[in-house]
Amino acid sequence: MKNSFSAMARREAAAGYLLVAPAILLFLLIGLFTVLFSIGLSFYHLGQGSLITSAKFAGLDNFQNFLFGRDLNLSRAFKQALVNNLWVLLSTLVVIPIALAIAVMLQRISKGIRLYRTVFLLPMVTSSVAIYYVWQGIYEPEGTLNKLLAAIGLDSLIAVNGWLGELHTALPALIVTVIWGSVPGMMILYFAGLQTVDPHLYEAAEMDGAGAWQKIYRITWPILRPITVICLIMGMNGALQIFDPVWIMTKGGPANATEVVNVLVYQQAFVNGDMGVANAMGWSIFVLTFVLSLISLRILRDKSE
Amino acid sequence: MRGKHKWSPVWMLVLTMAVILTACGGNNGDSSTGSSDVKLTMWHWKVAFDPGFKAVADAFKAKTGITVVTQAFTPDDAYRQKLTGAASAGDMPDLYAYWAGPLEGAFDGKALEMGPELEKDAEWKNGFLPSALQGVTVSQANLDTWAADEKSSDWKKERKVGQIYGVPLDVGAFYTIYGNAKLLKEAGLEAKAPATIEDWIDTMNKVKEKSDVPGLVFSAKTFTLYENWFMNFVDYMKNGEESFTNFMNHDEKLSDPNHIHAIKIIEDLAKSGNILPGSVSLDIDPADQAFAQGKATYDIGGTFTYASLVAMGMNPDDIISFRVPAYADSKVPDAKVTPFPLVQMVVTQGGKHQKEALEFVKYLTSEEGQILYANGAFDLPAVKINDTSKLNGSLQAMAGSLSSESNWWSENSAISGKIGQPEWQTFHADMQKVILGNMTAAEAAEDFDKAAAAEKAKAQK
Repeated sequence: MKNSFSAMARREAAAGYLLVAPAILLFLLIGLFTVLFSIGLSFYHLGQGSLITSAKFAGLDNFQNFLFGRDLNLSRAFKQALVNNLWVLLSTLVVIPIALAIAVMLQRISKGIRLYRTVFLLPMVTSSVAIYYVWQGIYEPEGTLNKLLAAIGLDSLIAVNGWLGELHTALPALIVTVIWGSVPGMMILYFAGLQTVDPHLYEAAEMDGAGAWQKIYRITWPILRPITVICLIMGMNGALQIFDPVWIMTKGGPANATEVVNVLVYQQAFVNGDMGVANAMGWSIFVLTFVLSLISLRILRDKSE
Repeated sequence: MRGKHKWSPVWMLVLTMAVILTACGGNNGDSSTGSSDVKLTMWHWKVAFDPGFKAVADAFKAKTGITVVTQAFTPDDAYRQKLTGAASAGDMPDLYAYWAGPLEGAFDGKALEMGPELEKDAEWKNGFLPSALQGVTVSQANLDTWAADEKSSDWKKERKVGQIYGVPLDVGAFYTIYGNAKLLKEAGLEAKAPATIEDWIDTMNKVKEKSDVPGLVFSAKTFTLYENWFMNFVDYMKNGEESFTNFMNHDEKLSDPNHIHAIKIIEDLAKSGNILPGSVSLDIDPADQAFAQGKATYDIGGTFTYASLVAMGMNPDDIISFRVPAYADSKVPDAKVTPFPLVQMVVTQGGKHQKEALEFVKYLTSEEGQILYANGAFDLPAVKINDTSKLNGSLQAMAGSLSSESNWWSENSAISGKIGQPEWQTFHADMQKVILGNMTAAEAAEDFDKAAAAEKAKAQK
């Protein structure tokens, strides 16, 4: 009897493997191959307009060029871009509390919740490209923001070259757009998390004499902690891999004030035609994202696990 | 059963005749209404050029029966990647357009070498504007650049002077300043080309003083626009061939008194309020649009900018244009702007229809083909047009304003083209800082000299 069961299980397992085989094969062919190809390319020199067959092995040259100053200009550009990425990363620390606050607010209101939810989710469901162009318009020298400042008499705050056109305002202006676009995604995660908390738990805690802080720490936080980890990793990933808002709104300018690593990667690959350096940069930023994600996971790991 | 497959002498004769007739009938370029089942695929990335290509393709089909299917892929980066991918996979179209330049789009031997074909057909070769053909021909300076570049392929390094892998389709020129005649007249000034840069700046100041309109707008956001559409030619005129070459090779510094003008003019114009605010954030079209809307007196552009300005609604009577002015103390103040090729046509080496593709390129770049193309694409032809009345009005005017003869500038594009190298990205970023008032011209020059020294040291390793 036992033998026939195990034979059936084996047959089922084989059928399962057979069913997922096409997907795995496709992944191996397309996904894994491109990943390995990209890793390989980061160790080669490949000039503009040259074919892959002409690539020359470069060892660690491509990495040394921008990480260790072998190419001073590239190294300087990479450092500046990385610092800008880290500024965007810090915005995650602003996004998370805002998202949480809105989620709590949405949970507490009883009237017009659908309207509020729709409004708060708008940035997430609208085409991001269109949104970035709208923000670009807001920040222009004759854009809405400058006009608004002029209308309320704050002429001294007007950015004459536009908010994306001044060295000291371009990155903050861009970060505001990023924050605006990131809040809804995180807000909905928190909102979903808060919905799972049984209200009776709070009542029971109150009866046991728990204060507001204790209710948050003992009941709400254990549920929100894994969501926060997800938000943190999502935010970190988004900040270090950011590309489209920067490319659309500033292309890294003015004077590289908003240049981030992925814009530099794009420029190296498709403007300068240096696929080797572009891939090396791409993998470096991936390693950084991976390490920071692991650290976040470790710090916020549930101690009960 | 075997008897069924036996060929009778009559059938053999019919088949032989059919083969002979087919062979005789193909590729008869002289036939007025040819017929052919050959279908060529042509790729390009200029949507605006498609009507021109189609007009030529239709005429070519009427002559030879060969069909040419044109396919446009945009944007530029996607097109470049598509072709690179196709070249790697060996899946190239029969012919394609590419950015003009020696070995551009040759993909390490995937393109047909056209030099021998041009030598075989003197009429075809001599039809091109000398400076246009010069711009796609491998020069010693190109070979020297590739030899020094560790990333250049062996194939590139093995090329020889004089080789050509793509023939020019069109020409154009930078170094053109557009002026708003209406604004100049309103300020009580004559709408004419200034004699020198000093006069030009003086005019800007006068308009600014009278109407508060800034003197200049250009896409300070776009890398190499100021550098390659204005500055390098001004430096060449000011200092002459030798000093300019030394400057491009970093044997002379930007901070040297002879070359500091390249960044000092930006500082002076910015300080006097003569650069339109927001220029550092403007792409090319928005910058032209700002000029067309009368937000600045002058605009830096190329021959191709005129059509955009008119399309943006600017009255042609309000536009004046002139070559970038030279400083009063320039060594070559009358340097001629020669048109250079912008786009070249490349035939795939060993393609299924290589012969027919070459035939089409020859027709496209014949005087007849170029007139059809130029009028359809609103683009300047790369060949000599004997009867310019066949070109539309604006094209006639632009073609007439350019020198077609080869000169030092057109023969040394590899030197002026160094403006695209990485150290110039430092210049560009610093130029933006100077415009914004975050850096002085002297600081920018010092920073650039450091970047240039670093690149030079890297090249010498």
